[in-house]
Amino acid sequence: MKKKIAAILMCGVMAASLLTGCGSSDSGSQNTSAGETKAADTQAEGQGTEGTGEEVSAVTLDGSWPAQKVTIGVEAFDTTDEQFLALQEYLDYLTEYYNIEFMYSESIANAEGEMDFIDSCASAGCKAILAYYNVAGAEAIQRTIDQGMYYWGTEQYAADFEDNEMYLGCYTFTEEGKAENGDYLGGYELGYSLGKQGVQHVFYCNGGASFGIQMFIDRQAGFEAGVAAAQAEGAEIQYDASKDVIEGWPGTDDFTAAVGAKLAEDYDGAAVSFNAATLFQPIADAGKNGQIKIAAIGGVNDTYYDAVQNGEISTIVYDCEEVVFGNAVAQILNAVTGHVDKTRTADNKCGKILTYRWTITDTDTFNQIYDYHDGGNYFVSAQDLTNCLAEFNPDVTFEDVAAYYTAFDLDTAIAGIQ
Amino acid sequence: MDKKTKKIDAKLIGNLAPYIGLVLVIIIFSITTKGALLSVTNLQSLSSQVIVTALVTIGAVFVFGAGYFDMSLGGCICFAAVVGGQAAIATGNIFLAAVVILLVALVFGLIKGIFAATVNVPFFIFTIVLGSVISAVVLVMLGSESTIYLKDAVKEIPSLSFSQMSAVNIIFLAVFFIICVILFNYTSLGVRIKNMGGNIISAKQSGIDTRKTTISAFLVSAVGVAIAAFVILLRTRTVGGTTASTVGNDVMVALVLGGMPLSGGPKSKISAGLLGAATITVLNSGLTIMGLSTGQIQICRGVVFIVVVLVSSLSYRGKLLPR
Amino acid sequence: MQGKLKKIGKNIIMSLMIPVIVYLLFFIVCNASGHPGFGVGADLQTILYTSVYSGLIALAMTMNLTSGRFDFSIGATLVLAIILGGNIAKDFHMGALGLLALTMVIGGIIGLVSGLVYVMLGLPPMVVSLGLAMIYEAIGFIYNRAKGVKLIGKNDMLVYSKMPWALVVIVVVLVVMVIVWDYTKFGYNRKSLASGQKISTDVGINEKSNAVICYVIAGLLLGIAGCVYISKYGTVTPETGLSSSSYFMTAFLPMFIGGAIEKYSSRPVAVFIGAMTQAFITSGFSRLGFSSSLMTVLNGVIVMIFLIYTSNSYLLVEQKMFREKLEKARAAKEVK
Repeated sequence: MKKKIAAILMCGVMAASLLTGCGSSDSGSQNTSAGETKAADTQAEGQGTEGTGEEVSAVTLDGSWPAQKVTIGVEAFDTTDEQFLALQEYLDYLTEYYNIEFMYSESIANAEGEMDFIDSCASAGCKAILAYYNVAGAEAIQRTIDQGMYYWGTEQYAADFEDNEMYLGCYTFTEEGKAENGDYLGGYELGYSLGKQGVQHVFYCNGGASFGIQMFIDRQAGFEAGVAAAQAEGAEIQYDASKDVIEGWPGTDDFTAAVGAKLAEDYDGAAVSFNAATLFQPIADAGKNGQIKIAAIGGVNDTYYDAVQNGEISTIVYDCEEVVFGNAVAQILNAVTGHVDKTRTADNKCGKILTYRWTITDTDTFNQIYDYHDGGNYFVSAQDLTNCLAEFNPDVTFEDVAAYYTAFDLDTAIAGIQ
Repeated sequence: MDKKTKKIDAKLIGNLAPYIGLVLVIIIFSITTKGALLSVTNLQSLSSQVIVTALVTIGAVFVFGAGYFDMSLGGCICFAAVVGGQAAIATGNIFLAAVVILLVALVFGLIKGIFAATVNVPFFIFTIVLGSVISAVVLVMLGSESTIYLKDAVKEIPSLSFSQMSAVNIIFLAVFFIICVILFNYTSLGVRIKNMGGNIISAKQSGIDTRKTTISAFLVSAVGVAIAAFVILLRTRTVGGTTASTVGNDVMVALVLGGMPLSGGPKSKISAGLLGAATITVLNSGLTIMGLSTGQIQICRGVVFIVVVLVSSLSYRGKLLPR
Repeated sequence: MQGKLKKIGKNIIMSLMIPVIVYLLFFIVCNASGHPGFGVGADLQTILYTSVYSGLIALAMTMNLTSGRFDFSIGATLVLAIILGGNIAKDFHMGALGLLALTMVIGGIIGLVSGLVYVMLGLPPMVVSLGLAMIYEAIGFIYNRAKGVKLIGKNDMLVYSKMPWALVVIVVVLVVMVIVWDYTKFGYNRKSLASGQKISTDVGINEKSNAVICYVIAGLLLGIAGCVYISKYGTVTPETGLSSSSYFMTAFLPMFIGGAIEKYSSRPVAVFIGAMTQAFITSGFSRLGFSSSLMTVLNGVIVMIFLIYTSNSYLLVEQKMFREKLEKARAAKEVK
C-alpha cells in the first residue's frame, strides 16, 4: 500500500515538475511589459538609416507586431559557444520589441539530430529555421521546406535552392563571384593577420577538423591560404601543416600534451579556430606571456576582455552577431508577413546579404565595441530593424536591406558610435 | 496473506510502470504542447525519431538479457552506415548498400560474441573501449571527407518522401519487433538467454551451450544495428564520423525506462525495447516542442528518468544493494 | 629480516617496472626518430599534470568500480564541483587553498548526494548515475548561464597543475588513500563487501554506509581533480547531453595497470603508477606526431591488452600452483 502511494506521489511530482518547467518557458516571451518605447533612447541612428530608401519615424515597438506570434527555430552546434550565447542575447532582446519567439536547439551532434530538431520545430508551429549550423547539407534545407517552413542560412547550398521561395538566402562573407565560404575566410583572416603582424613561427589549433566537422576543415584550409598569402607578400611567417597543428579539443590528454610540446618550442604565434581562452593559462604557465601572439575566431566579450587589455591576444576575428546573423530576422519577418518578394533579388533569386567580419587588432577598438554592447546597445537596434521591414517601410527593397547590412564594416561601425 | 498481496501489488506496479510511464508522458506532453505532440505530422516524424533507438534497443535486449553490457552499439552503427554509404555512392545501388551494412554489422556481432564467450574480461569496459576505437577507425576511413552525402552517388539514389519514409519505418520496426518477440518468448533462444543472465553457472550446469547462445544473442542484436544503420542512411542521406554518436546512451536510458533489469536474467522483457524507446522519444520530442532551454530539458529528463526507473524497479527489488 | 628487505625490493622493482620500461622505450624511439624532447624539461611538466589529473579521476573511479559500481556521473560531478567552487572562490577572493578546500567540499557533497540517492532508491548504480549525471550537467549549465567558470589570469589561485603544488597534492592524496584503503575499518569492510557481498552483509557489515562513504571519497577526489584541471586551462565550460561521460575514458588504462600491479604495493599507489604510464604514452605518441584517431586506437588496444591480462592473470597463478603440486606429488612418490 505504501509503495502504491509512493508511486502515485512520484508521478504527481513528475507531472508538477514538467508543468512548472512549461510555465517558465512561456514567461520568457511574454515580456510585453517592456512596452516603454525605446525609440526615445539615443541609438546609432546616424549610421542606421543610411542606405534605406526612406527614413521611418520612430515607431512604437511594444511586442504586438506581428499580430500572430512568429516562432523561429535556431539550430546550434554548441549551446555553450560564446558566439551562440551572444546571438541568443541579441535575439532575446528583439523578442521584447517584436511578437516573436525563438526555439533554440540543444547541441546538434549529427544529421539525425538535426532532422529531429527540424521536425520538432515544424510540430511546434515554427515558421522558419535560422540555421546557425548545418550538418545534413541540402537534405536539411529540403526537409525544412517540405515541412512548410522558411530556411535561412547555409551558404554552400544556396545555389541549389536559389529559385525556391522558401529558401531565404543567407549571409555571406564572399564577394560576388568568389567561391570561398565564411569559415574559410575566417581562417584566412587568422593566417593573414598573423603573417602581417610579423609572426615568425605559428601553430594552429584545428578543433574538429580531424573529427570530420566541416566548418573546422574549412577554417584550416582558409588559415593555410591566409598564411600563404602573407608569405607571398613578403611575410616571414613559417608554417608546416604536418608539424604545426594541434588536433582536438582542450580537456583531452592529447591536447594537453600537444600544447605543452608546442609551447616548449620556438613558436611566437598561435591561431585558434575556436575559443582561444584555453591557451591563455598554459601560455602563462610556460612563462611565455606576451611572447606569443594569439589570433582567434571569437567575440567581443568577457572571455577575451582581460587578455586583450594585457595584449595576450592580438587578433580577434569577430562576426558581429546583430549584423552577420541578425539580418536573418529581417528576412524572416518580411517573408512571414507576406512580403517574401522583399527577400529576393530583382531577378527572383534568393537574397544573399554580404556582410563583413571585423578583424580587431587593437585594444581601443575592442574596448569601444565592448563598452557599446555592455551599455545595452546594438549596432542594429530593434528600432533600426523597422527600416528593413516592409510592414513599416513599404518602399524598401531587398537591395536596400542588403546595402544596409553591407555598410557595416569595422571602420563605419566604429565611426557610427563615436 | 497481507504480505503476499503487498508483494504482488508492488510487482504488478513494477511490471506496469513502463506502460504507465509511457501513457503519462504522452498525456502530459499532449497537454503542455497543446496537442502538437499528437498531430499527424508529428506522429510521422516521431516514427522517424523512435526507429533507430527502438531497433537497437530491441536487439540489445537479447545481449543485456544474457548478462552482457554492450556500449559499442553507436560505434557499430556508425561504422556500418559509413561503409554502406561509401558502397552506395560508389555503385549507386542502395540495395547493395543494405547488404554491405548487414554483413558489416554481423561481422561485428560475431567478433563481440566470440570474445564474450571465450575470453574472460569485464565485457562492459571492453565494449566502451571498442566503441571509441571503432569511431576512431571510422574517422581514419573517411579521411578528409568528413561527411558523405548520398546525392554524390554515381547513379542517382531516389530520396523517399516524408510519408514514404514513415511507412518504411513502421514496416521495419513492426517486422523486427514481431520476429524478436517470437525469438525471445517462444523459442529456446529466449529461455537460454534468460537463464544465462540469471545465473551463468547454473545455466552451464543445466546443459546450456553458453557459447552458442552468446553468439546468437549478439547476432540478433547485430541485425537490429544493421537495420538502424540502413534507416539512418535512407532518412538523412548523410553519414559521417558523428553518426549515431548518442545511440549508446539512448539505448541505456531506453532499456531502463522500458523496465528492463540491466543485469539481465529472467525478468528481461522484449517489450522493454519498444516501450523504452517510445518513452524517451516522446519525452525528447515533447520537451523540444515545448521550447524549453537546454538546461531545463536536461533537468526534466533526469528527474523523469529517475522517477520512472524507481517505480519500475519495484518489480525486481532485492535485499542487497544492486551492482 | 633479509627476506623482508628482499621482498620490499622486489615489490618496488615490479611496481616501477612498467613505467620505467615505457619511459625508456619512448625516450629512445622519440630521440631516434628525430623528435627529441620527450620526458625532459617542459614535457615533464605536462606529464606531471596529466598523471595527477588522470590519477585522481582513476582513483575516484576505483573507489566504486572495485565494488562493482560503475559511476557514469564522474565527469558531471567534476564539472559541477569546479564550476560552483570556482565561481564562489572567485567572488569571495579566496586564494588557492580556499579554491581547493571549497571545491573538495562541494565535490564531497555532490558525492554524498549520489551515494544517498543510490542507497535510498536501491537502483542499479549505472542507472542512478546516468540520471544524476543528467541533473548535474543541467545544474552546471544553468548556473552562471552556460558560461561555466573562468579564472584565467588569477595565477595566485591556479597553482595545482605544476610543481610544487601538484606534487604536494598527489603525495598527500596517495598517503591518505593508502591509509584509508588498507589500514582503516572502512577499508577492511569495503574489501570484504567487494569480494563477497552477501556474506559480508550477513556478518553484519553495514553496506549502505560503506557505499555512501565510497561515493563521498570519490566526490572529494573529483573536486581536487577539478582544481588541477582549472589550474591548467583556467576555464571550464559546462557539458550537456551526457557528453561528460567521456571524462572516464582517461581513467581506464590507469585502473587496469593499477589492477595488474596492485599486489606489489597498494591499489591507490598502483593506480597512480598506471596514470604515470598513461601520461608517458600520451606524451610520447604526441611527440611522434601521431594523429588523434591513431592515438585513440592505440590507447584502446593497450587498454584491451591490460584488461585481458588482469582478468586472466589468475590462470597463470593457477597453472604455477598446479605445477608445483604435481612436482611435490612426484617427489613424494619417488621418496616412497
